[in-house]
Amino acid sequence: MTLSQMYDHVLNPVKGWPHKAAVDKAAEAAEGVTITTGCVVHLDSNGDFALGVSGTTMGIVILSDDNIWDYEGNMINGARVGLVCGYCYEVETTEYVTSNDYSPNDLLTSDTSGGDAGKVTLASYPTDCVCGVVSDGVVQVKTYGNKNLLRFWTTYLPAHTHS
Amino acid sequence: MDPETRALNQAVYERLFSDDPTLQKEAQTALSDYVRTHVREDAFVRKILDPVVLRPEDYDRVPGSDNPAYIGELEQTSPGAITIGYGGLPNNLYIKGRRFVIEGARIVGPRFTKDVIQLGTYRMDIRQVLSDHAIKDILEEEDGQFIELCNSLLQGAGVTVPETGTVQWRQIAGGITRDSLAEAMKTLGSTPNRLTTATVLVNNNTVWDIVKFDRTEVGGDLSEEMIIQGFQSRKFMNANWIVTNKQDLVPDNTIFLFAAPKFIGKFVIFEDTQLYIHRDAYLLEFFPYECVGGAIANVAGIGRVDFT
Repeated sequence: MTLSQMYDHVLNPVKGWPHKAAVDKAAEAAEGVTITTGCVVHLDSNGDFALGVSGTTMGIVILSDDNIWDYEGNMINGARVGLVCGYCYEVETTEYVTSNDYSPNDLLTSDTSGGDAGKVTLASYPTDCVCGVVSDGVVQVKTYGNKNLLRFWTTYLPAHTHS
Repeated sequence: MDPETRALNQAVYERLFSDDPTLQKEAQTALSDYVRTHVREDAFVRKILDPVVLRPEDYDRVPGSDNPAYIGELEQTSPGAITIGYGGLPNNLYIKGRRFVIEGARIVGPRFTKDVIQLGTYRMDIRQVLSDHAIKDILEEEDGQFIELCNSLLQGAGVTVPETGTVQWRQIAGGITRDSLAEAMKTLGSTPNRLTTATVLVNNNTVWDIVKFDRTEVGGDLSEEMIIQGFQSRKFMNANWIVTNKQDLVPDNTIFLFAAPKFIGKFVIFEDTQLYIHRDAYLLEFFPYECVGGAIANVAGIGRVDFT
C-alpha cells in the first residue's frame, strides 16, 4: 500500500459549491479503475465511474477525498462523489496534463484511456467531448503546499461529427 | 386521533412552525432522538458488531486524509505451546500487533420536502411521518453494506475462503431440519480459528420453518411455545437469533452465522444518526445523516448457509 500525501490529488470548488441546488453525483469506481480526487469521470453502462469523457458522456469531476484505506474487509467504501460538469462550477484541480499551455477560454476534455486518462487536457472540438472551459488557467495555491492547479469552469459540450 | 398523539403532534407542529430558532432546534433534537432510537433498535449490523461511539476528540487520524478514522485491534493468535525435553528452551516469537483502520463515511437519506400545511392533515404520530422514511433508508444502507461485505468476503457458495482455506458459504441439502441446522452450526468451528457461533441472522419468512419443528424434533415445550408465539428473536442452539424483515438482504432459506463481535471486527459511529430539518416559509425539508464505518477484520468469524 502506498500512502499518498495530503495534497497529491486536490479538487477545490472555487465557486458554485456548496449549495443546496448544486448537482453532484455519487457512485463507485468501475471494476479495476482507480479514481483520484480532481479527476474527470463519466458514468459507464453499469452506473459506475469510469475515467475521462468521450462522445456524449457527461463529465463529472471528483470532489470527495481518496479512499486511501479502502481495503477488502472495509464495510463502507468505494462511494465517491463528484460535481456534474453540465452544471457550471468554477473548480481548480491538480489532475491536469501539465505539458500543455492553458489560456482563458480554451476548451477542455479528458481522455478515457492511456497514462493521462481522467486528467483534464486541451480539447479539439467538435471531435472531443468538452467538460470545461479554462478560466484563470494554472494557478499556484499556497494552501495546498504551493501546488499548481488548473482553474476552469465546468461545462458540457458533446462531441459530434458535423461542422 | 388519540389524545396523546394529538398532544405530541401539536407540540411538534408548534415548534416546527415557530420563528424562534430555539424552538425549531428543540423539534429537530426531539425528532433526531426518535430516529436514532429506532436505528439503534432495528439495524442488525449494530447488534452483530458491537458499535463503538466516538467523540471528535477520540477520532484517530490517518496520514494523507482528513477523514475521521478508528484504528482497531484484533486478538492475537499464537502458534501454540509445544512439549520439549528437559534442558530444552522455548522458541522465540516477537509479538506484532494486528490492527485495522476504519474510515468513516457519510451516509445520507433523501432530502424530503413537504408543504407544512399538508402535514397538518396527518392524524398519525407526526414523528413517524417525518422519520419513517429516514429510518428505513439509513437501515437499508447500513445493513445492506454489511451483508454485501459478508457475501464478498465469503467468496460464493462452495468456494474456499483464501484466508482460512475453508468453505464458509455452504449449501446443505434437505431443507431446514434439526440435523441440517446443527450441521450449519459447525461452519465457523470448521475454520482453523475454531470459533463458536454467537449470532445467527435469519429472515422472518424462513424462521417459520423452525416453528414447524414438532415436539420430537425441537425437544420439548419449545414446540408449543413457538406455535403460540412464533419464533421471535431469541437464544436457540446456544446462539442469539436475530430475525429480520429485510428479505432482500437475507434471502429465504439462508442463515448468516457470526462469532462474537470481538472476533469479527467493529462498527464505528463517528456521528450518530441525526435528522436535519429546515423550514423555509411553508416548505419543510428534512433528511437523515450520519457518519459511520465498519470492518470485518477476521473473515473466520462469519459464515453463511443456504438450505436447498
